[in-house]
Amino acid sequence: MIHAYLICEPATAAPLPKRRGLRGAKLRATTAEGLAAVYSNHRSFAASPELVLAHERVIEAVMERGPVLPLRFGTRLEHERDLVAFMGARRAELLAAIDRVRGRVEMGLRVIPRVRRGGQRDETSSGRAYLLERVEKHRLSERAKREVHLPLTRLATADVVATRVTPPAILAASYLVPADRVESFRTAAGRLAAGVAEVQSFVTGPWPPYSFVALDETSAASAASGHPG
Amino acid sequence: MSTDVVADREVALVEVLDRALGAGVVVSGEVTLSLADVDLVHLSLRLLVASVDTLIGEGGQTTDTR
Repeated sequence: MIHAYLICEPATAAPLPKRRGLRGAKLRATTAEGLAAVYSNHRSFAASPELVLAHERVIEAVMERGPVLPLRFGTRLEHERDLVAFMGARRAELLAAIDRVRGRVEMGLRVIPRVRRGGQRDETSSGRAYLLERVEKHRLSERAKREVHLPLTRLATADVVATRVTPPAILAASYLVPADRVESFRTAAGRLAAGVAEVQSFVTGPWPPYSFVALDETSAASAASGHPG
Repeated sequence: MSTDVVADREVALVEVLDRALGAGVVVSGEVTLSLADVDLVHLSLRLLVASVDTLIGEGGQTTDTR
C-alpha cells in the first residue's frame, strides 16, 4: 500500500525535501495533469499520534516551497496509480483549491474554560449539575465566538468553526490568513483573548490549510455511486 | 510564562491531530483507519488536552487527584 501526504504543483515537489516519511520511508512524488502527489510505500500499519505527526512534518516541509493541499491522515491506497487517477478525475477542483490557499496559511483558535468545575466528576450522579455545566459552557462558547472569533474572521480570507470540539475545549476555529499577516493576526488574537478572562484562548499556526481544502464531497460521492446530486 | 509555553506546545499537538484526522483532502473518499485506531488517537488527544487543562488550572484549584 502507499501512504499519501499531499497534492501540490509539480514544481513544489521537485526536488522533494531531504527528509523521511512515516516510519523512515523514502518520500516519492508522482505527477499527472499539472499536479503532483507526495507519498511513500508501506506495508500496512496501525495509526498512532506519532505517525500523524510524521505526516504533518512532511507536509510542513513541502509547504515551505509552495502551496500544498494536505491529505487527511489515514487515506490508504493500494498503488501510486490510484493517486494519478484521483488527480486526473478531480484536476479542476484540485487546481482551484491550490489557488485558494496560495500564499496563505491556516491559523487555529482553541478556547478552554479557565476554571474546572468540581462537579465534573459527578456528572452522572447529578443531572442538574450536568445541565448547569452545559449551560455555562454554552454561554462561554457563545461569548468567545462573539468577542474573539468574529473579530478574527475580519482578518482572514476564510474561516470555519469546528462542529465537534474535543473537550474540555468549548470552541475551536480555523482561519485562512495571508502568510505575511500571521504576526498581526497573532497580535490581534492575543488582544481579543485577553478580554475574556474566563477562558484561555490558544492561537496556533501557521498550519497547512487542512480546513480549507475540502473538495465537493457531494459530487465525489455521487460520481462514485452513480447517484445524481 | 513557562507554563504557557508547555501548554502551547501540547495544544499545538492536539491541533495537528485534530486537523490531520478530521480535515484535509480525502482521496476517493477512502479513509480506512479502523475505528480502534481512531479511538486510540482520540484517547491520546483527550489525555493531552486534559494535561493542558491541569496546567491551566495551576494556581487555582487542584483538579486531578490521581
